[in-house]
Amino acid sequence: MAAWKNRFLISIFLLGSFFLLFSMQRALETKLPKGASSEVVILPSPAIVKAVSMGNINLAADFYWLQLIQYFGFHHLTDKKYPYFYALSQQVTDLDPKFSFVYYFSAFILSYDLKKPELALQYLEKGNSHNPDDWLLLHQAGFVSYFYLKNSLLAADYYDKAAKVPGAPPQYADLAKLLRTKGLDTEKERFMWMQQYKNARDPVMKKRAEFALIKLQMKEDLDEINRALYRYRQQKGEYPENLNDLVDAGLLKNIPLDPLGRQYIYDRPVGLVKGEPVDEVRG
Amino acid sequence: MAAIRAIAVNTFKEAIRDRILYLLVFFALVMIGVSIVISSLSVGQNARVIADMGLAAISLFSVIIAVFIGTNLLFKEIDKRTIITLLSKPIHRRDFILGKYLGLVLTLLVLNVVMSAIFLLTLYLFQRIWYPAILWVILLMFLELMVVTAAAIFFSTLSSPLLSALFTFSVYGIGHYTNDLKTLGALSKNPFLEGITSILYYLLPNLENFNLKNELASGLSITPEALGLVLVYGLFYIFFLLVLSVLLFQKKEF
Repeated sequence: MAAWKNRFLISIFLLGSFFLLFSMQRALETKLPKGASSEVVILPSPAIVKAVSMGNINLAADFYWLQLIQYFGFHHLTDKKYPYFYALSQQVTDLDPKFSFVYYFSAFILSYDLKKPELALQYLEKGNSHNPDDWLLLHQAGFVSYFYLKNSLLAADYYDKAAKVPGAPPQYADLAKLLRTKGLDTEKERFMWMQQYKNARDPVMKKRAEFALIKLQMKEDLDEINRALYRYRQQKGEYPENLNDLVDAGLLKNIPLDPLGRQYIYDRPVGLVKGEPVDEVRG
Repeated sequence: MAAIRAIAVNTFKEAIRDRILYLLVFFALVMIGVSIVISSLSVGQNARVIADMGLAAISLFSVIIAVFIGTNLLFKEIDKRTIITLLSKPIHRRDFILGKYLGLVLTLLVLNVVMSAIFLLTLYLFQRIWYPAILWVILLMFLELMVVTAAAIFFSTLSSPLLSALFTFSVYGIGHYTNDLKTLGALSKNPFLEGITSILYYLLPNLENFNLKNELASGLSITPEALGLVLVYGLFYIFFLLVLSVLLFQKKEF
């Protein structure tokens, strides 16, 4: 009997203690001052980190990579300001220059969120010099040049370089050629965003690529329908009652839905269709 | 009570006989050396750097001592068979654990008082600076140390000195990163992992609660109420660990 009683008392003690510790920690969470200490970016020089890590340099790089992701995530959800983003990225790749995904990821964020495509290219050049076999970095450089520096010729050069790397998608050479010609923007853009979508390994990049692809598809659809509307009016002197008249008149094979499965909106007095707004999905 | 006191005093004397106080000389040399070097570098933030270095050194030295002595206390008695003589006397096993714990805390207290005095003195002599909040910072550091010591005693009732030291250092390390542990769980978006990390988060001692070091230069923003709660949290955690240690120690056979 005594043994049972003891066990019972011990269990009560353990449960009670857990409960007390739990509630105290809960209370402390709200009462303790927060702030400065959670947002300190400490960037000792790579030489010091290497010394301190006692040979675990890659681990140190991983640590800063996690810091970088958290830093981006936190500011992405709050103030959208990223003063230390580039410094943190540099820290990771100074420690491990072969950590090629970091170049790929950070270049995108540098261009898209920080609006510093020149910095992104500079960073990708560094990445490329350490990882010449990684065609993804060259693709990213082409991508940044085209979309954020608006320089198709520079982009073409990068895609040419990428095409020469073993294992690169064979279409890169064609894309480079396409980039040197005028026009056909949607085709180029769709290809580049598709690459971005396929190679994205984190949700933010993936969602953004998906978003861009949806917008491209909508733009194409809308152009097609609007052209048909224009021709319909040329033939019949007025805009059609509804969009199905376009199909009946043989101007369109069918009325496409937008990529999210919604109908395009027909504004008859103006004679144009437009798409429902697409909210940029937050990653 | 008399038994507890006798064991505590003996533990303290034993530590002194182990030449532990030499550490103080080493600490003083480090403090003064750093102060001189930093002063000559003189980039404007001397006081801050010296204060941070000193506090870090105090806490690091103390934790190392707490862990290595704490995990050896029971083992030594068992290894040298002195425990058999001790426990054949009218001494409760509970008193034995408490006495050992208090003796070690006393040793650490003496060390901390002297180290803090050296630290504050160098800070004042070389930099002419005095932070009003510094005594609170040191006090909470000592409370943290008491929790770590209790953890060391707890593990030593379970395992060999080497492993106990390893476990205690792990608790110390994790104790400072439990917040990240929780964030990690939340980021994973995996309910199972999140469950595990939040259980660990609440169960392991959150040593960051005791950490006021980073607010020293900017002045403490902690409310008296929160300070009280931190004290209660620390003392309860110590109580919890010591009860577990006593329970485990009572089952032990020699």
